[in-house]
Amino acid sequence: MTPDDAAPERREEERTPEDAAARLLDRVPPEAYLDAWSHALRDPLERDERAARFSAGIVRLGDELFALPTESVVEVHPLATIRSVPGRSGEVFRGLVSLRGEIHLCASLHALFGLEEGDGGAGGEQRLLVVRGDGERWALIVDAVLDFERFDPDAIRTSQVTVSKSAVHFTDGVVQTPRGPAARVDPTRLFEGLMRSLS
Amino acid sequence: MTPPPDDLSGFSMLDLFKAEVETHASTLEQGLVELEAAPGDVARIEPLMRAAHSLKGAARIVGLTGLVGLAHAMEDLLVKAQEGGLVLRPAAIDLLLAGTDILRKTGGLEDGHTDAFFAEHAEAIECTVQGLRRAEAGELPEEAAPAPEPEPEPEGEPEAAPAPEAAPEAAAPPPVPAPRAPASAVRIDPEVFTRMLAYAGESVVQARRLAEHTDALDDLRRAVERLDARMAGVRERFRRDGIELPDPDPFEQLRHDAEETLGQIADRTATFDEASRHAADLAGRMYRQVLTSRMRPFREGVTHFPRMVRDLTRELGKHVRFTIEGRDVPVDRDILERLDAPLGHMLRNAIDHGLEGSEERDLAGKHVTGGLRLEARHHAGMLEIRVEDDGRGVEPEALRARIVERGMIAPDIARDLSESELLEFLFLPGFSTRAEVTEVSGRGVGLDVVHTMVREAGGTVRAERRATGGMRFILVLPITRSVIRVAVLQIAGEPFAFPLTQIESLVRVEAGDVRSIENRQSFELDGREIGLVPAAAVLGLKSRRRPTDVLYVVIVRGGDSEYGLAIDGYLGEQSLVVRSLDRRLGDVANVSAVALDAEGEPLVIVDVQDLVRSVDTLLHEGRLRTIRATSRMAGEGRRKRKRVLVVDDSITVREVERKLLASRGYDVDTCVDGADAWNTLRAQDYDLVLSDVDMPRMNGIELVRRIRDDARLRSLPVMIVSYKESEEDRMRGLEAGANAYLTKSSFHDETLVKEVVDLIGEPMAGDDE
Repeated sequence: MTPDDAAPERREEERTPEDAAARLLDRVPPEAYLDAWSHALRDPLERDERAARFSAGIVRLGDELFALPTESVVEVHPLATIRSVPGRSGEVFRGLVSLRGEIHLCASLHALFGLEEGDGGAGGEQRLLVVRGDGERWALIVDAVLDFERFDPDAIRTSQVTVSKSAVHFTDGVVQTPRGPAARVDPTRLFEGLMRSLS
Repeated sequence: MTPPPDDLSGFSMLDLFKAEVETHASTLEQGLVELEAAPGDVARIEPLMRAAHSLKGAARIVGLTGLVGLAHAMEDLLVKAQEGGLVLRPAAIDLLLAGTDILRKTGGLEDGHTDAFFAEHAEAIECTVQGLRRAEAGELPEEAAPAPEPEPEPEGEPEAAPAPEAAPEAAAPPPVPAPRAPASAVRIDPEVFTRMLAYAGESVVQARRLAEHTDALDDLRRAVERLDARMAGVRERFRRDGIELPDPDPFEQLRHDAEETLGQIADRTATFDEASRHAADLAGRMYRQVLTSRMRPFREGVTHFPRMVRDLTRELGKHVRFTIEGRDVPVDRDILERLDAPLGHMLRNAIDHGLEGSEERDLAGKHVTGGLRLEARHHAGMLEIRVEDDGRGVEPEALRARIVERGMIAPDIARDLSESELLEFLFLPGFSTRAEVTEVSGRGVGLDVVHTMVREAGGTVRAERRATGGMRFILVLPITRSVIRVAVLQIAGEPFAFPLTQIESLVRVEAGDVRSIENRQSFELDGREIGLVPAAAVLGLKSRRRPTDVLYVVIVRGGDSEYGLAIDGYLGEQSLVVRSLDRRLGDVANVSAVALDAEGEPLVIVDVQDLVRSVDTLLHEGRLRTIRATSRMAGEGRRKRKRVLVVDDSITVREVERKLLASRGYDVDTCVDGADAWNTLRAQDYDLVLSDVDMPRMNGIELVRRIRDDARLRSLPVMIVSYKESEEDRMRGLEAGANAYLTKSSFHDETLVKEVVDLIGEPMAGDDE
């Protein structure tokens, strides 16, 4: 029995809309109806737990794809003016950007991963991907943010061949996306690498 | 789920207790000090009793039983005094204050440290409780001389009331300064506050951007007007050429439509303009309101001073009437915190040095009770704080003698110093007018610290002798540290903010007026020789500046040093709302804070004092590059020196090469490896590169290849200097594109310099041509 089957029938003698509403809302639901809904609400949760254990944002750096865990991603912004911090700005840590009036530390993901930085490539302009780890935010320069996808954890392979050697250090597996294989970024290593760029 | 009933040491409970301790301890402290000045005023005891009572209850609730007995003993003593059972003499007040101190300390306790605290303070608590009980029983020994007020305070003593406009609060104490109910305040997470400030600031920027759309609408209106005029023109031409137009005239219809469109645009523009101005106004108000929430009344920063003054005067056996004025003057929270130490120091100074003992005052014909006054007010857009005493003051001639005696200045110059110039010496490090060192002050580490701290808070301090005797110290500080006025200067292609209070001036210097002495550049300004250094180099930024005829220079000063920092240009003045740097960046040299500029982009605020220190260090180490102006800068009679870039990862080799070439007259810069050199070469022009082969990051061979691959640098002569002496290494270097290959043994004779001259000629352009 589905929830729809359990809905009570309408009666002819309901005259005013108020009456009808009152009867509809005050009615006693059939027992099977509650059971059906309990199952309906419970079932998908069990399924979700398996299928969506890993959800990631897919970003492109040059020709390579990377998957960042969705829980680390805060938002995506157009590239903003980056202002240098004397004595700190370098190849990886670029400087400060203002996003909606909040000042963020901005770093180049290309430089961190040891990749050549292009001009955004085919996708057009570069983006700022705001990520969060240990309560701290970073604005990362990426070529494009393509999609957010869910992956079956069983589908993660431990392959290194698709990623540049230096980027391997920051990744812990490869997932298959509709656009091709993407290296899964390990957030712990990512944030450690970013912090190192400040010293 | 509720916590188990015995779990009362919960974090929030202890937090509440702390807040309560803070409030009541202040009430007690202030009240007790006031009560001591008017021991008979029983009405003043009531709020104190209530405070002790509340603390007793609060301590019991959070389970700090060690405090319950103490607060109880204090309460009992106060009750007895209130009922007229005894008069609270200074000895009893001492005990009550000691109790207050213990209570206050518990307000700073971290969770889980309470046991350790009570173990440590058990004896002190017990002692105080016993003392309080003895006082209550009237068993406290009566004190001998100086403690009680020597005589009832005469109203309006002439010399002690310093300024006529002063209405000292203590002169006629209001009967019961009902304990100020703590103003209802909201505790807010600093991070939330920062974010609120960010959003408020951003909404101001966004509202300003709306106004740009009004301009865009205006452009649109003008475009339609032009279209309308052109249609009128076309119609006119048709008419002149005798071309028959159908009836009704289609142009008329078109023009009618255009008029209508214009009307609509005008309406929309007006509506939009009003809305955008409304938004700007609202955003501005919100922003100011958020900023204002940083302000606290002056009184919050000075609550502990009456107690401090009281304890100190008692210790020194002096009699001082201390008044605070301007308690409600709003002061930025940061500044209030920073004022604590300097003000405390000046008050201690005044009591220890300035104010005389009763006998001396009596002999001098002054009132035996000295006057000490602390006043805050807003004046000319600044916060002005005065610390005044009616003591003996600083004798200018004695000061002059002491300055000469200490060899700080020649006698003939000292003779010509004015009084205010003499008083400035008080703020110099290590200067103390007091011959002997006392516990309280007079260690010669006094006013210079005040001076430094006030300066760090963006203010100034000066001293004056009062006409009626005594001293007056005047501190002038910005009303808020959150908003500062800056000059925005372009350095290495990026804007940087320099606080206006920290720069002396901005000047334009003709390149021809720059002199070079021992490879250090300088120019003359108002008769002074100002050392010139490139701001970009001090900040460690890569200069993208092209040589110009005119240099823009910002003059900065730190202590005795005055420098001219060469910048790319001046972008204007702005008021900035200061934010602290992201803590992940740690302490960044030469940077004090960050802000958003008028366009909403981040702007780094330079710490000028730190920058001056950096310049000192760089000059000391001889690491500063000189500023290049155009060859025209050299002007008639001057020629441009040839520039050589020395690249080597060994500091010894670098320095040897630099000295060899500099002594010959070349302008030499150094880089630590190929990558460093590559960056430098892309930003600046050189006549020759002298490079090692084996270096980290980028080796010499790679550097040569890059130079040869670069369109601009292709023809730049490169010389390799290496330890490697084999023919194979030599060939490798030359194949990569080096013009010459030398070994490091060439340092020992003239070979290196000779090769350089052969390759690029004599150091001064033209010498060899």
